[in-house]
Amino acid sequence: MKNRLRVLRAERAWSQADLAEHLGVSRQTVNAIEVEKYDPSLPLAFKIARLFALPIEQVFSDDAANKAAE
Amino acid sequence: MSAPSVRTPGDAPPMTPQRARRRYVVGFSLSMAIYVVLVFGVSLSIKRLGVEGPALYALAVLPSLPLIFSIYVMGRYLFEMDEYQRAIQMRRMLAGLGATLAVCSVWGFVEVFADAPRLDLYLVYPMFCMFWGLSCAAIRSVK
Repeated sequence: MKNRLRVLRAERAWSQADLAEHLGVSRQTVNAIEVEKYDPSLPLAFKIARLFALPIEQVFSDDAANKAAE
Repeated sequence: MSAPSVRTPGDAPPMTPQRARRRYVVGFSLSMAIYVVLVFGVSLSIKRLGVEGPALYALAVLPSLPLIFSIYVMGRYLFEMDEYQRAIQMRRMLAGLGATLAVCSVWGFVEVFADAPRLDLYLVYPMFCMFWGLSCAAIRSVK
């Protein structure tokens, strides 16, 4: 699954540790999501979207949808 | 939609990855310290006091109690860490468990059929910890 977490975080000038603290997860988890080594659970994905005040589709997009759009 | 929460006001502070880690390190260190004291204490007591019967059994069980507590501490940590850490630790623990079961199964048959030296069962727990530790180096991702 693709995500825009790194861009959204950079827009706010937050470090991975800052974002991790906002989400109540470890910095390693934020990093793993950013480098797309880990797809977050639905509750965490919604929490991330809520934090950036965006619909979840504007933060995450699944591979099938990306292929369909190409 | 309000933020989902399983905690009510007045509960313990919310669990953070740092707090979970601290609880684990403190709990595990404490159980290991008590374990070392009990192993030597029980060993000396049995030699010096000449305990027998049910009292001997009761005394012999004592060193395993902090180990059981440490298993609880590990399980608690597993559920207190965040979801990515849990996913990766589950894989590592399963790898450690699988390796331990494999070694014990193989050794068990070698004992029965080839008269190999007996593997003391109290070594199974440190064996699991060793394999779990090795799997931490080998398993770095959940994908």
